[in-house]
Amino acid sequence: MTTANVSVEERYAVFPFYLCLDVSASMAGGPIESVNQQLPLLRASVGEDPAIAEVIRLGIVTFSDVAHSVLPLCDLSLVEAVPELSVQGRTSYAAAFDHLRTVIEGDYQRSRAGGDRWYRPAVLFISDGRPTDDTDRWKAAHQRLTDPTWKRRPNILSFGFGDADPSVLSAVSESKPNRAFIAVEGAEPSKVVPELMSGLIQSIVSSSASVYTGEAQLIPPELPSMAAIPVDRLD
Amino acid sequence: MSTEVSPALGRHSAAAASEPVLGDSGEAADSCYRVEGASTDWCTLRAVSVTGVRHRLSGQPGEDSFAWARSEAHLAVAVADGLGSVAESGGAARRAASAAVKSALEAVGSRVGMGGAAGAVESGMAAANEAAAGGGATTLVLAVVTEDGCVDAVRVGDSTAFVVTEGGRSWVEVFARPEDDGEVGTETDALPSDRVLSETASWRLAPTDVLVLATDGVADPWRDGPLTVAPALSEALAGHPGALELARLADFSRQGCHDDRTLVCVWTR
Repeated sequence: MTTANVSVEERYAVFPFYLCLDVSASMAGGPIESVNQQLPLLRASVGEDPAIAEVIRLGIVTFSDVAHSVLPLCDLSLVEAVPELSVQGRTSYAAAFDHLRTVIEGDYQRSRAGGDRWYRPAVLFISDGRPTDDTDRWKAAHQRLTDPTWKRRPNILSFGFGDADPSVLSAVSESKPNRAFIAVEGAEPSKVVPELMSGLIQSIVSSSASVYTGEAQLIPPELPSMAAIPVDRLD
Repeated sequence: MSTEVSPALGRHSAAAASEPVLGDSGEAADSCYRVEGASTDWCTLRAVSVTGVRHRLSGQPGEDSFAWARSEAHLAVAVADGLGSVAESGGAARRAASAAVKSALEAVGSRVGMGGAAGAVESGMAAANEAAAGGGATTLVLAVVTEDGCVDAVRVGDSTAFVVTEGGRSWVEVFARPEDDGEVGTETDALPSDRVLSETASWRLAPTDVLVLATDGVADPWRDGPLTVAPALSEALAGHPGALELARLADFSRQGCHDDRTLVCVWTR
């Protein structure tokens, strides 16, 4: 028979999501405008539904030459407005991955000290272009983010349109099936981006619903203008 | 039953205070609150199953179940938690719990004078495994309590058993606690299974103790709420609550705790 381990720490289970958005110069115009239109809807859909807001924690990271946390991981029910994003610079995937690696670990430690227990965090990675860093540099940063020995390594869904490279996005999602998506040929960013953002909202909502069943899942969105990138076998 | 009379234990859940959605159809067995409370000359049982908040908000029935069976000197009790990721798991939970207690009691009857109910709970688990087939998947905890206070228990999955002692000032978890590295695991052993990996335990229940079988909808916040949930439940159970009072308490509001909740409590005299 085990004995009670009476800790003084009260613990609550939460599901952290990190929205990781490309804000490089190529996102100027329609794409970033669509993102800025959809972010308030994301805040409302999650923050104003008590059942979802209780279990979801959302952070927003942007990346171009450098990466920033424009919205620290938080309970969206406590957020009145989300920041408006602007574009500049190039597309450093390494900056994004290194920033996520640091932010996720720091957020986890703060959350744990505050009494939250985490489901494995999810990263929703969105880019309209290929990485402008050296391949070795961004791949090394990605390896640190997805290191199997790091307990807080996230599940990554990646989404690309415009000049995004399907093979790169597939690698970002660790070549796992149904984790990387690319806009279908001919799909205009003006149509893809709003649909993508709406789909991400549904993904977060559906994933939060799964928490209540006791078997949390990261549920990818269904996106008519995007196709899952097939994953080939290595042998 | 209004959630306004259910206590908040820890951070209040706004979702728990929301009005449930009426499902397309339903019957008594699918009700949000299922309660039982009765006694024999040597033991008292209280059982409650509360549909979790998310199921209530989507108009879906809960997927937990409980069951009991008794003879003159033995009481078999079980709780079961249907896996939400597998269709028809509510049915599997009901079948497994019911078969477990009946089979365990039959086995005890055939083993009188042969060393207790330890083998009986294994028979009960085998019967539960067979009954769970045919759709769905479920956890199960089964215990047989003897008039002299001996308890034998077995479980598959993450439902568990506690013993409340010292008048509610202390409690112990009978089975191994899940490892807590700060992350919430989502894998659960379940019935039916070709190879049932069960855990067993045996102990003696003092007349001042309370045996509690619980699904993880109760067990998780019990462990995660050492300053709120655990003492509130322990103290209440040590006071031998009535059935409705236990149901009110089991429906506590706590942020993030929206799973179905089932408790079966037994105390002896």
